[in-house]
Amino acid sequence: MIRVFYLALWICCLSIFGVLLSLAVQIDLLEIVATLIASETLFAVKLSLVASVSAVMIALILGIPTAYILARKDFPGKFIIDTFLDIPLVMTPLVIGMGLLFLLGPDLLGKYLSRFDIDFLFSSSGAIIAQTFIATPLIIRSCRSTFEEIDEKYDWAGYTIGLSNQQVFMRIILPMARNGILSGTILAWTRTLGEFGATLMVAGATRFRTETLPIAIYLNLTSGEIGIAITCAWVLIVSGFILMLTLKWLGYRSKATEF
Amino acid sequence: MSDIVLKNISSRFVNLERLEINKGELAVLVGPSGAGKTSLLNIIAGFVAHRGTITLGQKSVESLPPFKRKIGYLFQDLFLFPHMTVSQNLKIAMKSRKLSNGQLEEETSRILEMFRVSSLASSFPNQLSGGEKQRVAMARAVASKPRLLLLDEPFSHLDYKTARYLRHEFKKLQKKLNLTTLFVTHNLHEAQELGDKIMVMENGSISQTGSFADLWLEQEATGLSFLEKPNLLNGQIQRKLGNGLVEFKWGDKLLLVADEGVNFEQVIIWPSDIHILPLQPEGPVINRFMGNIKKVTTIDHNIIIHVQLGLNTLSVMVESHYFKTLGLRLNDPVYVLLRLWCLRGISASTPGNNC
Repeated sequence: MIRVFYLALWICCLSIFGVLLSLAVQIDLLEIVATLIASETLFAVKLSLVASVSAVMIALILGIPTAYILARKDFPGKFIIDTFLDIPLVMTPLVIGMGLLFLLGPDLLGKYLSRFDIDFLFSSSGAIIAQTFIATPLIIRSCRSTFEEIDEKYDWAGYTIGLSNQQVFMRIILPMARNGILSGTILAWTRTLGEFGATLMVAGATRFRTETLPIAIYLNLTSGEIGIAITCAWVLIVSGFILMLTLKWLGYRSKATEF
Repeated sequence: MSDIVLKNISSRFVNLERLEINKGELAVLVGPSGAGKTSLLNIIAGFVAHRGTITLGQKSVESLPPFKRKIGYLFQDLFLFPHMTVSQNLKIAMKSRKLSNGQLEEETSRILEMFRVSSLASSFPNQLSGGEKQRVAMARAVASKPRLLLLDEPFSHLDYKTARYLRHEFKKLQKKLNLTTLFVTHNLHEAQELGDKIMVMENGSISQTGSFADLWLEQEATGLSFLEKPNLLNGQIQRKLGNGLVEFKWGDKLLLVADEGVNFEQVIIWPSDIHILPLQPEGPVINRFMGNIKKVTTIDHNIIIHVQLGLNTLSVMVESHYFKTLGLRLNDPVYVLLRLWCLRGISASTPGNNC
């Protein structure tokens, strides 16, 4: 039976290898280097970095306190709210994007935001909002399980030596949760870097304006510019691989240095 | 004068009319598992909702959040902050005392010294042994200068010798610091060694209060089947040997016991202070007897072996893994050794214990 399991393992690896190989044979190394320094590719890399880092930062600011409350406190309707917060995880990004499009559009929030000259739609800030929506539930899930793993008596131990709620959270719980928070951050960052559906709906696909790496792939592939599309794909693959390696290393390290 | 007074405390697991502890007193709360001991500590510390009043040094604290109560708490599992060194664990406990940097360093060194953990200052908790962790946790609990210290079976995870040593150290420090303390245990031996006052808790309320002598020796407290009971050996002094020892006749046996300078008719020894072996040990034969195993019972995770010694019976407590190693069965012949320094003659006055 174990031989069959090994067979399954090899099929999984080979299918991924097949996809990567098919991308690799489309373009030679010289062309990759040339397209990598093309202004469009550089713009896409820069916007992807700015949008994903901003989205993850906002998601951390919103997600960490939410996760802590869910892990530590009981309140009426917690079960419903907990499930409600998971909705973005099970919705397709396209549907999330469509919802955000209507929410930020001129009929709803957009009507009020336009009075302050704020318009998120079809702009790079729209990409940040869409990606924040994708990243936040991932951060909440990851941080929540980390906070739940930390015995509540650590909070109590902090209180009994005279530390306030804020001091207990900042000085004890947050440092103890650092590996879990970092893992969640990397996971969310990887996910936002490759985010396409929601970004497309909210920010649109405009060259040198809302052109993140996935949008650049989409625009160039549909217009026959295979070189830039594949280069952008490789940038995503390599950065994703490095981030996932870091995530796994963090997992091993936290096991090795378990408190 | 009472330093802490609890009145009409009620919660899910606790229903207490009154509890008082005097300033600098070490009160020990004993009771079986599920009696509500830990719940009571959690109520006092402010972690569990309850009805009733808690007065600490004339000040009502029941409406204060835990971090404003100035109540130190040593948990059973210690909960040292794993990302901080020993020194940092102490410094964070002194944060509420608002010391200058110089004073903070000085005070940290003083407390490290007091608890004999100076050499561990830069170690992390996962680098410490069980006993060292215990010392550091005690040091941290004291570092915040609490008005009241709560301890929840802090020595229960330690081996017998380390626990005994730390109990002795803790008692000395508690008296030195004159720190009002409530100590929870289910070990009567521990209660006797530590407690100025012993309170027995059953089904959420205090059923008996007094000194060890009041509770156990004079009244033969009833309903305390969950506790390790001492062996009380009845007899009389046969003769004084003149070297600080007396011969005590216990049934058909003669024991050597320290001369207390007074007459006594009872000798106390705790089951955990008796050594048991299946084979005849080498060395002096003082207070060593041969008997047979009559009965075997358990208390918590320990084994109580009842040994028949001629006309007398004796309870011996061993850890269950040691019992398995010995491979003993009912009626097996065994040798018991009553450690001389653990035998204590009891007259009308309250007994102490050297062990």
